[in-house]
Amino acid sequence: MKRKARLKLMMGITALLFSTTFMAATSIAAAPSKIEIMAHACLTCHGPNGVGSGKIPELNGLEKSDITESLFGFKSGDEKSTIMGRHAKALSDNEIEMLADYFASLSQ
Amino acid sequence: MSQIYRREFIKLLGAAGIVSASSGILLPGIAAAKANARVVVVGGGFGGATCASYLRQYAPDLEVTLVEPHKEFITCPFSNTVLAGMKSMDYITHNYDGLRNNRGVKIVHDWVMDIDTIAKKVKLKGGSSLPYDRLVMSPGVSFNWNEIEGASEATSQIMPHAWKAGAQTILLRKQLEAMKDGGTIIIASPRKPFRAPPAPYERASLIAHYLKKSKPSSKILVVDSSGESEALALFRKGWKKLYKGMVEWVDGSQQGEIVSADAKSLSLTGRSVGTIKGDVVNLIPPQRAGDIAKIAGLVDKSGWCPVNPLNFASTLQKDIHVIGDACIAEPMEKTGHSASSQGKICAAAIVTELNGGTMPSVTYSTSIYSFLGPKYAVSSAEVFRIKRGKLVQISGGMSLEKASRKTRLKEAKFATGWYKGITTDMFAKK
Ligand SMILES: Cc1cc2nc3c(=O)[nH]c(=O)nc-3n(C[C@H](O)[C@H](O)[C@H](O)COP(=O)(O)OP(=O)(O)OC[C@H]3O[C@@H](n4cnc5c(N)ncnc54)[C@H](O)[C@@H]3O)c2cc1C
Ligand code: HEC
Repeated sequence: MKRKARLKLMMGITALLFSTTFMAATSIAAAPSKIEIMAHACLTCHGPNGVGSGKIPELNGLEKSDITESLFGFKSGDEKSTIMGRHAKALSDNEIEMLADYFASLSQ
Repeated sequence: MSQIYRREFIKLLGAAGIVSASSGILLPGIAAAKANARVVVVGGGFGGATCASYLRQYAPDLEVTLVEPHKEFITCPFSNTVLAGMKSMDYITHNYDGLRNNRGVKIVHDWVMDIDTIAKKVKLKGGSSLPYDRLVMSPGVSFNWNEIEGASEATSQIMPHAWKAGAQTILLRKQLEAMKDGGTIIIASPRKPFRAPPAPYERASLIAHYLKKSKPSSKILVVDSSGESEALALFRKGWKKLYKGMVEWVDGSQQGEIVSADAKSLSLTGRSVGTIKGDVVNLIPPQRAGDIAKIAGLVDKSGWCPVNPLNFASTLQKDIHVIGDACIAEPMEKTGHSASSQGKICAAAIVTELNGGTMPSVTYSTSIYSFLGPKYAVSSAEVFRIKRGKLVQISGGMSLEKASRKTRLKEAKFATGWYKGITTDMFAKK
């Protein structure tokens, strides 16, 4: 193979490998975590990024402690709700903590 | 020479925390295939639109094509408020601009006519075909007209089902407007499983709301093939309070299903109810998965599509996922909220699998708000998890039977919030 052609081929391979590596890496980084998937279920009512919709309260902007207080309250029934009790009862305490972290981080 | 690059490549992959170096040697080809993976989503409704949006959100380098024949999507949720004159058709009409512009989903407005599951290609009515690595199907429902003698797609122009929103919604609204005071409206609902089980009751309520103001001597007869339920009890309580004597409920569950219909005389015949005649007849036929699912070999004897709830992969065809009304996801009911939940989980599962990971254990959820009047709504809400390969309900049920007027008003406001939330989410509106 001529030197020039060979150089061109090598450059081509480098570019190719680099681009596939980059793409693979970005799609890996994008694979959603458990808590992301679970938090996205809340957005159906609470709106994209938890910014609220109509009269359904905003989650974006709440402190972590506000969120855990509400969710543990809904779960135990101590905090009255129309619908959140039925949703919160399905969450483990650990999931409540992680969801609260997730939504609190949105407002930072 | 290329060895060096491969070594560099593996190092890079390792740095990104992707694989152990030992399996890295196989990666270049596979990684490329994954990054360029093509996902085709069929059906731009609650399941399909949501899934397409989240696929792109989770993996911005995936090529996602959504195939939907209609340029605008008209939602069934809130279509009963249009029948009652509370909301306009505009309110329930949405477009695909958000998915196209904010998410980079390719939108193809066409019908899927066939699916070549061997060559992995979706064939479009327009003549072209789309290759896929993964296919997501969310085609909604089709109607079993053959179960009701004398009824067909054609007679639905006279006895509308209005169970797909659009022209049928407008037709039923016009018939209600044209009806004289003192008339009878029949709502005949099918046996389960069907799309949105509480929606016939919501429809009866909101039509009653309309009639109470403008045609107060009229009556609504609900012939219900689903029979008694927790939801029904709540509605009956509300009907008594809000529309005393206007709504009559007939149990059609004990062999009472409507078996024949006569569009000329606007009458229906059921084994136990005999022949009944209405001035407006809303005949909602029994249902099955949208027809394209059958063409693709995705349905079982029940007429619906069996799936693995972990990722909504079809148990009958490789690399095809089925979500929404069309799939069998009992005990999750067939609602827009269920379809949205399934769409998100299916998107997460596809991206996770393409990256060689395993899906974490997550919750599946649904809620359905139903209006009994503009200031009176109730809801059902359920959460599920997978246990031993099957979906199991963890919590939920209906709104409390004993609740104040204020609580029902709150739920009516939240219902409107839910609608705004879910439509903003599924269509990736800004
Ligand atoms: C009166 C009424 C009220 C309702 N109220 C509520 C409510 O308040 N809350 C709630 O959660 N749910 C409600 N629902 C239920 C909800 O509408 C459905 O459960 C939901 O639409 C299911 O989503 P899907 O994606 O399975 O199907 P759809 O949303 O119906 O989407 C299917 C799409 O696939 C397309 N399609 C079909 N075949 C093809 C093909 N061959 N090629 C290309 N595209 C195709 C169709 O055009 C359609 O756009 C209600 C339903 C009714 C009838
Ligand atoms: C069906 C719609 C719906 C879903 C789904 C939903 N919520 Fe809610 N949420 C509401 C409503 C309505 C309220 C107001 C309280 C009530 O009446 O239930 C609320 C209230 C809250 C509050 C209290 C806010 C405050 O200001 O105190 C928190 C926190 C919350 N939700 C978190 C969540 C999380 C986390 C999820 C997902 C696991 C979730 N919600 C899913 C409808 C929903």
